[in-house]
Amino acid sequence: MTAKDEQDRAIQAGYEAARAALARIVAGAA
Amino acid sequence: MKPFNARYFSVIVAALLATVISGCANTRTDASLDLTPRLIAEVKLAAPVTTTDARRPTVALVLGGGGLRGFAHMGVLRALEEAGIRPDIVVGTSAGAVVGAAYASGMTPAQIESAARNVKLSSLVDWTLNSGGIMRGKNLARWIDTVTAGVPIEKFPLRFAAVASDLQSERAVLLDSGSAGRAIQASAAVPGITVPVPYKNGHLIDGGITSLVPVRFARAMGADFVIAVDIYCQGPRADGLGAPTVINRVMHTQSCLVAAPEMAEADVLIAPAIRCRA
Repeated sequence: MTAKDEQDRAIQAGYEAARAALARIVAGAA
Repeated sequence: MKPFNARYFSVIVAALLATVISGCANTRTDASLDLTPRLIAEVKLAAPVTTTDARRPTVALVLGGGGLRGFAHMGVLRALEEAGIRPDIVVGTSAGAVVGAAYASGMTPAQIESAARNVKLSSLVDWTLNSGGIMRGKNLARWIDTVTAGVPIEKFPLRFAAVASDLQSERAVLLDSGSAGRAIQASAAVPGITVPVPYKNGHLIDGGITSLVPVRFARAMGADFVIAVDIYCQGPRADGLGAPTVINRVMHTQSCLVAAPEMAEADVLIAPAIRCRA
C-alpha cells in the first residue's frame, strides 16, 4: 500500500465515521 | 509490514549517536521563547467563547493526536462541512492541532487536503544532534506558519488552541496565542523524537501524553457542545515484539488509558479505525 493509499483510506475512514455519528445525532433528535 | 525494519534501526542508531555525541547539551537554545502556555484552571478564569446567537450553543470541534492518521481529520471536516456544521471553537492535539490550525485559519477542508498531500514529509524532517531528540521540529513550524499565512492564532477567524504537555508541571497546557507554527511544534513534539520546545518556565512536549483528545480544554474555553475525534485509540495495534514496536505499544496504551475518561465527556465522539504506519 502506498502512502497515498494510506492517506485516502484515512480520509475516507474519517468521513464515514463522521457521517455515521451525524446520522446517530439526527436519529436521536427525531 | 515488518515489525522491525532498516528504517527503524537507522532511526534508533541515529538517536543513540546523537545522545552520545551531544551529552548533556542544553535544549534551551531558541531565542524566541514566545509561547505562553496556560493550565486548564487559568483557561477557565478567562472570558468564555460565546456565539453571536444566544439561542445557539457554543460548539467545539476537538481533534485528537495520532501522527499520520491525522488525514482522517480531513474526512471528518469534509463531512461536517457537507452537513453545514461550523464549530465556534477548534482545539487540537499534535496531528489534530496541525489540521485544526489550518481549518481555524480559514482554509476549507479541500484546501487542507491539498496542502497536506502536496507537502513532502521529508521536507518536514530536520535532523539534529541534540540529547532531547533527533528532530528539531522547526521545519514543521515553518510549514504551519506558511500554510496559515503567518497569522497569529488570536487573529484566526475561528477560535483555536493547541494542546501540549509541560515537562516540568507534568500537566496539559493550552496554547492559544502567537505563532501557530511554534504552538504546533510543541503540541507535536513526540518524546525522544522531536526536541522539547522551550518556553519561559520550562519545556513543552507532545500534548498526546497528557490530553490526547482535549475535550476538557474545549469546555474550559466555553463550549456547550463538544464534537471530539479520536484517530488513535480505536485502530489496529502494531504487531511484533521488536523494541520500537513495544515502545510504540506502551505509548499507545498509556495515552489511551489517560485519554479515555476525557473522551467520554464529549457529546459526540467520532472514532474511525485507521491502520497506519506512523
